[in-house]
Amino acid sequence: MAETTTFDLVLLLIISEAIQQALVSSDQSITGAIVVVCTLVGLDIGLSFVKQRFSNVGKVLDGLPVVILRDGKLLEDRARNERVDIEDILAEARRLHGLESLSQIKYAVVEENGEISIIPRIN
Amino acid sequence: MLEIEEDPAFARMEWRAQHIGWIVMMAIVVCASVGLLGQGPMSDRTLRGSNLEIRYDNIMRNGAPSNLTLRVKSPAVISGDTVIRVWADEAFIESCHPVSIIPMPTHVLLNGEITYWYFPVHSGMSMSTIRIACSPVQIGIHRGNIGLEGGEEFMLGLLVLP
Repeated sequence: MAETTTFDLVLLLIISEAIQQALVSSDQSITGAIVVVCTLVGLDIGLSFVKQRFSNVGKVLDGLPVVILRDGKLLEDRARNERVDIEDILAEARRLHGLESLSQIKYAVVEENGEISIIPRIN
Repeated sequence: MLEIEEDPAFARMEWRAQHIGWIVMMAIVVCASVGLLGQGPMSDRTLRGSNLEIRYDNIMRNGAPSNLTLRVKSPAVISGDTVIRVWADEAFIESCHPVSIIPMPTHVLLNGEITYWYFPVHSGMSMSTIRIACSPVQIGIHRGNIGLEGGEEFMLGLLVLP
């Protein structure tokens, strides 16, 4: 989610093109477009209110952060389910903190938006 | 100590939901490829009689084009007549929602809830093919009748998907 690849972008464009027909059908009017935009934006705003009011809804819609590495040890089951491997963690550790090995990492967390946060071990 | 709103039980549930989502998506692709969502081998239906054969998609998609083909044994062969008379009831017209017929009928006759299409044929023809392009606009399960005047008729079951 955090890093969109070229393929993801192409996929997004194709999906939006495919859904566009189902949303507006043969209605080419500006009114139709305004109705669709207002509905979608309104839905987004409405959901943000609901998430603010009910934290459980936010959990379902956005997910929660997941710790995938603790004290230099990879939590394999979690990492596999999040589809993250050691190379991904090491790459983020190098990029964010200039770390060299897993043993220098205290925690690695997959955030709600898909980014990997690295907390270095303090010696 | 890392202060984080972690919920392993919820995460497991989320992963399970994700896996179910993948299975559903795969099932949709498989169903679409075999025609269970229309336009495929499993939605292709052929009804055969002695003088009339109808080939059509019994699963259609709302607004999507779908062809219905009638193969008619020429009336010239049977009775010396040179006009094929095809009729369809209101239920068929509403469910199939024909947008074009090839060849164009020379006459269209409305008789109550029945529509008649007349197609002149050459006396030398043994079989004639009539193609009706449908573009259904009513979602749901429909049943309609189509047939030859004074001849065979078939009830067509159609499922129109959203």
